[in-house]
Amino acid sequence: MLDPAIVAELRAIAGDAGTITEYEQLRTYESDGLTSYRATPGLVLLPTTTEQVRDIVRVCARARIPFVPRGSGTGLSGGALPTAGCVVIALSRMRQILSVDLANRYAVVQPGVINLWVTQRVAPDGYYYAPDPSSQQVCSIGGNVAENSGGAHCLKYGFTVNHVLGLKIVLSDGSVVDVGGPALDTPGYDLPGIIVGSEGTLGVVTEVTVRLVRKPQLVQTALAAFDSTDAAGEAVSGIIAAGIVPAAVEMMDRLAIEAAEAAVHANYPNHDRVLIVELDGRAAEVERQLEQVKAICDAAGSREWRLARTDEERALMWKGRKSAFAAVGRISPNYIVQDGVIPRTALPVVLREIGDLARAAGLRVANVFHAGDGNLHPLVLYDQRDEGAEARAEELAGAILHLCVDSGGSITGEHGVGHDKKHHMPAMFSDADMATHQLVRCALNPDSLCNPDKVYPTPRLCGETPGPYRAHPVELAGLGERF
Amino acid sequence: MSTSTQSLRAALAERAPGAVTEATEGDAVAGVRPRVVVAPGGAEEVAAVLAFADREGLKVLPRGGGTQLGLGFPPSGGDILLSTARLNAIVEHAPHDQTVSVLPGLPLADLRAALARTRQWLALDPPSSPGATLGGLIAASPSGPRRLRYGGVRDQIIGVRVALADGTIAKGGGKVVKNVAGYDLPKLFTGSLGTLGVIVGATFRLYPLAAASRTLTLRAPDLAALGELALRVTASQLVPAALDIAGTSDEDTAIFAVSFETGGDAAAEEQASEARALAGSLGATAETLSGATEDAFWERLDAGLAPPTAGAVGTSLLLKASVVPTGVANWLARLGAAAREGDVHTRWRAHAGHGLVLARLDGDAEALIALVEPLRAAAHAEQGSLVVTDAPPAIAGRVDVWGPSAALDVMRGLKARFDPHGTLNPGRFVGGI
Repeated sequence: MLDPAIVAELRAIAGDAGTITEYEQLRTYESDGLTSYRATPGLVLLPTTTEQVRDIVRVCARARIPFVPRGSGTGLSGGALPTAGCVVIALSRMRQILSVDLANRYAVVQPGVINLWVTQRVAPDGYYYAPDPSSQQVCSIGGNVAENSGGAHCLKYGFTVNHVLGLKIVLSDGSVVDVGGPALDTPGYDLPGIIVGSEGTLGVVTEVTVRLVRKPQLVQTALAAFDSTDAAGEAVSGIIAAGIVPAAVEMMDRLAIEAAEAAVHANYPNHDRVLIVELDGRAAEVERQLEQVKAICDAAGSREWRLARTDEERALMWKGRKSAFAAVGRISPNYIVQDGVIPRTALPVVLREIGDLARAAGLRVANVFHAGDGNLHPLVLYDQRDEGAEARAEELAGAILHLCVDSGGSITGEHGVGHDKKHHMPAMFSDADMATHQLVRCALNPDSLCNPDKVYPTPRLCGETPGPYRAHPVELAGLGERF
Repeated sequence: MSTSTQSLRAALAERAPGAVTEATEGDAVAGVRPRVVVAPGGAEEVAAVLAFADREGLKVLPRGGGTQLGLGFPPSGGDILLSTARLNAIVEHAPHDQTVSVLPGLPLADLRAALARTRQWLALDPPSSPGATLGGLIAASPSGPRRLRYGGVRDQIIGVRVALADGTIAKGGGKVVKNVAGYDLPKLFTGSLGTLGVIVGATFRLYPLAAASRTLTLRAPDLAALGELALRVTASQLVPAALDIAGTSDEDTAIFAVSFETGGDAAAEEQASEARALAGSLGATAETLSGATEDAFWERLDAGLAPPTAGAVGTSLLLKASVVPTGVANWLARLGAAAREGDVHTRWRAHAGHGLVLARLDGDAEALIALVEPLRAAAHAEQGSLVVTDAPPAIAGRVDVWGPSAALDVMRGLKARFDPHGTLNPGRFVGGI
């Protein structure tokens, strides 16, 4: 329970319209897109300016109240999960595109701006914002910065971190710092590089300078259908081996195809595996590559080839893919969305192993993934009315992550660690690794008031500013241990 | 300093057997001559050396190929020069996954040659410096013309392994291109100039080598017009790999060059002709280069910024101005005016598509020193920054080689956590970190 005097102070900063205290309304903020974890915040504030965010953080820092920044709440790893009784700083009212500079190819936006709005704003001039997570119609740029969001086009264009030039950030002590900027190579440590993807644990970002990309001369999107993962995987390997860097290569398996058909009637071919291949760039280059890709798919045993002839057809192809997660709801009452990465060449082996694990668990797994960069999104389907099914599904989802790590990959390619995958971090990182990573948090957010208990399974105690060892109060109280 | 050089050598030899030698004048880093040179044979040896130095209050200067030692302030101390020369290997090249893991002492040239056998490359083309190593490349983060298309070191590095001052060995990132697990240590260490830890391993993503390439080049007297042309190219749907404007204070005209890398000759030719059309009247004398002529052309641009040969009179500085693309021509005009006023000779090369400008200034030391701040102010006016990337120690100690930083407190905080005793490269980095 927050001290009423503190609530009044915070209300004075955010205003009545930007302060939520009613229990029923607070519950709206009790989880993000991963609804299996919930905690009711003590207070939700909706600031509209950097100054308000700064003042809110200062009050929280002084009163030692944990605070959790939040964008659109579409994250899938519990990164915006509140801690009970905390202050949620929801950035959804900071939604202005502050400036656009086409000649220098950047825009400055507030964190609540929806990803797709950036592209919509500059599209008439022939530019776009490249990172395109499937949730781009609702997810915010601030959330994208926190999670280092990817999307279908990362293979060629990179992730959020490759498209963020600068940030304005309110640190956990309430100081406001500008890092990076429209020009490259700001002297000093690459602070945008370390803040992007830190899952809101290093401060509250209030402005983002994003790179704009010139629209390519030609985009071509095709579907190729296959009878097996091996055949589809061979096609992907062939495309890469030919020296082609496609804008996107997505793979869906039969279950995912059925789900997409049921949900959005994407008109996908009726086969076991579908590849979506997108090529973009100079027209002459794209046309030549398209022929190559078709020949490679044919040689790999492709059963059907469909080229999108219009923008509408292309949009439909993507709609099926981008709505796949939600679409799975049509074929299963419950499901877990997993996110793991493997070296691309391990694809056929790992998918077979996922199939084996699923059979052993008596569950179905639908597979949707970014085949070009080995980012898997297995969807573990279950019915929670079945005794023990939920536990089996969670176990299977975890086992899939360990497969990814064992093949040389990662426990997350784009959804983040958040709260959900903290306990999987030791599969990838040693205690020394994680303690070292957390030196970054110790520098920027030493008391861990900003989005506490995320990403790492054991919060490192930072102690005072470095010097001789002194026991942290929490340690003395027997509530934590130092490592 | 409590230890004699002899006992220091003995203590280090225990931790890195067979790898310790006395330092010579040639081992000096920006005028600071270390007492010993140690070249550990593995990450654990690096860690043991660092932990020892950190405990004993000795300062450590990490060195790769030694090609970037002119970057930064002179160190405020330096007892041990830690060379990565023996950490020289490709650990794993997975051509079909388009990744490579290396040890830090591997020369970039060796990696290039090895990768070329599978028609791949690490998409980095820093100014040519024989002997440059991958570890040094990460730590200094130089970049070249093709950053326009492929990005810089920060965009290619996907994993890093480091040894911290206290002897901790830790990794960040991984071996797959797409990975958001944990804080992005690879980016933190990129450009950190050895001040946070010693890089003992790294993994990069790779690109296929382009099958075809063309460069359209022309000469013209009007910098503003060339700047305009560069902006027309980047605003078009051409896909340039590199876009440079280069010149010297001796010449009335500057070179404009734009290159295109594609999967086939026709596609490269087509873009070169379209670029020529964009050039309008400037395009009348343009040439399209390919093959060996094209390679030689870019090598000449690279060589154009080389330091003066030994025995040259006066002093030489290399500046890196970073500005927004629309500010390139303005900054170059300011450079030209300043050089005339200060009677300084300049050779410069602007990566006009992404706004990084390298300028070599040769002249009287006082005149050069006087130019740094006005040119920095001109870069700030174009939303950027200016760093002196190569300077003789006498000058590096008298100018602010890095310039101001809005986030200096945060950077100091990071340094204090990673290297609390200031063991690594003390004083060299931004704000004297």
